[in-house]
Parts: sequence; structure tokens; C-alpha cells
Amino acid sequence: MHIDIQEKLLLYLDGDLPDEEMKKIRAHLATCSLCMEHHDALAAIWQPERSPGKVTPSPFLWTRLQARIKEYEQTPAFVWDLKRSLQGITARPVSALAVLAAIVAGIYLGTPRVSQNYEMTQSINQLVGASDDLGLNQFDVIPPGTLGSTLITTSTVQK
Amino acid sequence: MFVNEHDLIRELQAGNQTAFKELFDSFSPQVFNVAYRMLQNKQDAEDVTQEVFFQAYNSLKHFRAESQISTWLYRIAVNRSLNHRRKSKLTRWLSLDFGESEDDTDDSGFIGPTEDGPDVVIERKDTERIVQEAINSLPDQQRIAILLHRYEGLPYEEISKIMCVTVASVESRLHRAKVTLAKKLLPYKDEL
Repeated sequence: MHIDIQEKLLLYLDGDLPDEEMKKIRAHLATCSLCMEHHDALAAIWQPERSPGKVTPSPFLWTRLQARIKEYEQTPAFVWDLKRSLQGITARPVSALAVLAAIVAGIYLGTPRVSQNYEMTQSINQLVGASDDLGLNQFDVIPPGTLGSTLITTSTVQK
Repeated sequence: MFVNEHDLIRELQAGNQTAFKELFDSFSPQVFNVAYRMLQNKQDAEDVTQEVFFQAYNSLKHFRAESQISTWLYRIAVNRSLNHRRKSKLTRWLSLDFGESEDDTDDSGFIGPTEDGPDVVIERKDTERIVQEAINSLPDQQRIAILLHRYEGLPYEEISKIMCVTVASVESRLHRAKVTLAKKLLPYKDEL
């Protein structure tokens, strides 16, 4: 009940409610000190005479406006038309291109490098084939850390 | 001095500079105030006011006088202020400034001439700041309605023309705005 009344206090103060509801709130306020307290607090700030005064613009505003109009009138009309049309033309495509570039970059960065792995595997296979051709895998002892040891190891793994 | 709006519009459309100056002198305070209430920044409000009259200057020949000239100027002011606010938000977002608004709210003009003492003036400023913050937190459409109604004292019908909605819609927005404001202001009861 109290919440319902308190929510409508500004409407009540402005007389924006139907007569019946105005009467209901008035009757409630007469008996409820809490809601009356809220009413008084809001009334103190919501009266029209308590609303703030007008703010005045700078006295130079007219001079600035005149200067702008003068500049506008001295510039050939086609320049303004061009500016306006360029703004309209460029704004959307530039945004679209930026989004597109972001998508492409995302796809590029997110894709695993399959082609590089494939090329590397192919190179290893070629080397293994070459070592078989040269008979490098026939040696019993291959000095560790040499090209031969790498090829033999790879060749054994492949097979 | 033009006796009625019809004469003023005719002279404006004929390119009379004196008429344009009169239009500016008559309506720039209202336009500026609407922009200031919406943007909370004097410099931004002046920029918007300049934009409004520049646009009016360029569009006057197309003005069909279907509404009052003040309604037309208010409508441009509201739209320009909304655009300005969106651009400022975007600029702040792009500059990764997620902190408080950069608005250097100058509330020196908030309270009109008064004979009250400094304590009373400070108290009223505090109170108005709380109210203004509550209004700023409303959705745009409710905020515009309440600003035009409370600060400009415009009738529902004119607000409906400015916002291009029905009078019933303005009533509904104001109703919702006032309920929300009452909820937001009550916790500050002791400060008010």
C-alpha cells in the first residue's frame, strides 16, 4: 500500500491522476505520517518555482553562427554537396570493409597451418627415400647428431 | 519587429537577414536550454544550438508552416542533441574511456537570480543535481518528455508534435517517468 502511494506521489503533486485516485491518496496521506513525510520531501523539490532557472548561451553564439553561414555561402554549392554525399557514401562501406577485414583476419589466425605440416612431412619422406636409395640405413653405427642418424631414426619411425 | 509568425516566416523565406536575427534572438535561449538539459554541458549545448540554427537557415525555404516555428526548432534541437549524445558516447567508447562522463557540468546557471543566502543556494543546487541525475537516468523518450514538460513548460500537445507521437503516448511517457523518478528520488529523501 505504502509503496503504491509513494510511487504515485509526483503524479499526485502534478494532479495527473484520476479524481478517485487523488482522493484515495489524499485520504491515505492524512493518516500515514511516513507517506506524508515522503510527500513533503518531493513537494519541496517538485514545485514549478523550485525548478532551475534558464541557462544563458554565450553572447558570441550569434557571431559564430554568422561566420559559419558566411563560410557556407562563400563555398560553392557543389563542394558541400560533394562533402555530404561522400559522408553518406563512405561511412557505411568503410564500416563494412572494417568488419570484413576483421572476419578475414580472424579466420586466417584461427586456421591451423595444415599446408605447412604437409610440406614438412613431404620433405621428410623425400629425405627418407633418399637415405634408402643411398643405403644409409645399412650402417650399424651412425655417429649421433649427424644427418645420417636423423634420417635413420625418421626412416625407422616411418616404417 | 515582426507582428506575427506568418510575417516572420515569409520574410525568412525571402532571405531577410533581420528576420533571421530576430528568429535567433527569440528562440536561441529555448533551443540552448533544451540542448543543455539533454547534454549537461554548456559547450556541447552551444554547438548543438549553432547546428540547429544552421540547419534552420538552410531548410527555411522548405518549411511548410504546418506547425509553429518553435515546435520545428525544438524538434531539430531534440534530434541534434540525441545525435550529439550518441556520437559522444561512441567517441568515449572508441577512446576506451569507460570512466565517468567527461561532461564538465557547469551548473552556475542552474538557479536563477535569488536573494537567498549562499547556504540556501548551495542546498538548492544539490537538490537540483539529484533531480537532474534521476532525470538523466531515464530512457531517452521519457527524459525528453519530462525535460520539455518540466523545464520548458510545454503543453502535452506541443510535446507530442516535437516528439512525433500522439498526445496519449506523451501522457504515458510522462506517467512512467514520474513513477520512476519518485522511486529514484525517495532514497534521497533525507538529502532533499
